[in-house]
Amino acid sequence: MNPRAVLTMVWLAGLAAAVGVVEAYFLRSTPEGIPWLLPSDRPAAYQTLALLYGAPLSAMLACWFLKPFPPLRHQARLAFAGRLAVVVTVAFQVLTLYLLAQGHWVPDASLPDLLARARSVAGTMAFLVAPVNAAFFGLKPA
Amino acid sequence: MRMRDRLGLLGVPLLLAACAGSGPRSDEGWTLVQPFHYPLAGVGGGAISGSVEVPEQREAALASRALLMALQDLQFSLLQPALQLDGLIPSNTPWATDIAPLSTATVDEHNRLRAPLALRGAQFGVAYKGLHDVRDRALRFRISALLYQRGMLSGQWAPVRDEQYSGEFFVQRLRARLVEQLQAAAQARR
Repeated sequence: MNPRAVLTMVWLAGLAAAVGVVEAYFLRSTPEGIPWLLPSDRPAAYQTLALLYGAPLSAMLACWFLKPFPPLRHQARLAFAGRLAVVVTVAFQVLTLYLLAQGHWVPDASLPDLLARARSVAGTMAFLVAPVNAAFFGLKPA
Repeated sequence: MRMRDRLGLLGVPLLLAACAGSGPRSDEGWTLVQPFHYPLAGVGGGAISGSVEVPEQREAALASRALLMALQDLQFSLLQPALQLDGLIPSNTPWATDIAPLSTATVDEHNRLRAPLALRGAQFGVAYKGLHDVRDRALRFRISALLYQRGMLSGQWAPVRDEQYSGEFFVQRLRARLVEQLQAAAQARR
């Protein structure tokens, strides 16, 4: 399978899993019948998710179509770059999902805090994941 | 009939209307109108029923202090106005509190007394706003209650639509505390 397609699938699956994790909060309630989140919380939750995933996904898709980088001469380097991009991206997704899902087991959590923490950590880790993905997607074919 | 007489007849209803307008204003729209009297007012040694004793020039301070104590009793903080050094809300100045979560007992009581407007499926909080005034030998308080809801993990409160709860129930809750505070202040003066 084309490594670029794998990487794209990892990003889209990460986004879908994040939506699933956040939606799961809306389905749960306390033993007294008080829901964890109300429908009025959706706009704020999805706004943060859009900010979290919007920047890397839009950069990645832009690089995929524009291809601003010259091709690598060695296929071995290209294969390594592909593996590195996949590993780093999967690690990034797992960390982000872990931070988003913490409210399911941490008592007295608050969704805005969880989202803010996930966004802050994702922003900090962007130095690791963004260049690798941008370069890998932005390479012109040899 | 001469023109001067006609104008005179026309003036009578206008004069009556003007007199009616300058009379005591209606108590409509006020949540609580508490009459007060000054010390040594009235005849004999008995207390004036239904009225609280307030020293002269201290009416506004007593009204404000009673209001602040009643809000404090119910765990509210004042958001506006910013209190000055004397710690009083000036008369005729709109005030507003923060949102304080309601206990399960209070929600249950609301649901028991206002069954068609039962509150369910969220954590509820209430905020008050209002105004007070001192005139015509009465302390007047206007109070409104605004209900909010949120989930257990929600970061912020969302307003509940007016037709979904009894604002009057929550207004009466603060009113009762306010009456207690006014009476306590009057007792303390005796």
